[in-house]
Amino acid sequence: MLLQSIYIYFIGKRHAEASTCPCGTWETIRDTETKSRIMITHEDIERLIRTALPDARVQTYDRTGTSDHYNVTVTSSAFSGKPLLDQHRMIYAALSEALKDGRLHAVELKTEAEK
Amino acid sequence: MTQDLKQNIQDEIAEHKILVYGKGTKQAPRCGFTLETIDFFNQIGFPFEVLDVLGNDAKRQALTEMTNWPTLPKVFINGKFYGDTDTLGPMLESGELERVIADAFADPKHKVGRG
Repeated sequence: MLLQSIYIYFIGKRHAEASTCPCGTWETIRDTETKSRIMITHEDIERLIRTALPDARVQTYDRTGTSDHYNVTVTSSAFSGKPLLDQHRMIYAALSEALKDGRLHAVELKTEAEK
Repeated sequence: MTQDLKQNIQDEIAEHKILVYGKGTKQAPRCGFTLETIDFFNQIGFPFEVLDVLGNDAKRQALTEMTNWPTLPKVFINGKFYGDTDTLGPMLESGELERVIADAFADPKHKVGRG
């Protein structure tokens, strides 16, 4: 289907362009406050998510090499039966501290319900 | 948030079948995620509007409260909030997005089609 081929193109493209992102997406802090280069590790992200979702499997990809822009993929039984938007809200809530204090600048999220 | 601001947002959402609140404009996006969202809807091929809220903290806060979604960009289709490309991507893959957009443009004045 045409739309699916567009999607595949799009997924291939987004990673290539990721490093050009000049700004964080978190809405509770101003852009000028996100300039500091505080970093967060995979282990930190995994711990924050598992505090909220103990059975979560967490994959991260540091997409800019600066340890503050991550692709995060989470698999958990807690997502079962929940709308996609709510699944993402659960992860944003779990990561809110790190996003607010600037350790985590921006995330690209993917969630999957454990089968 | 003020009722005026909320009403203003609701009017904008009602006015545009596909509406992106982002950082920067279509011609000059100021965030990689906003650019990515513009690319996404350019590929989809239906008319969409991008409204720049980068410099409007009160409106950003109102939008965050209305959607319970902490990041920009924020995408509305047919008056309903659908998240960002992290959630629209899976919707495109599953075919749901195509249905949502077809419903949005199911008006005799608009030709419903793909691409």
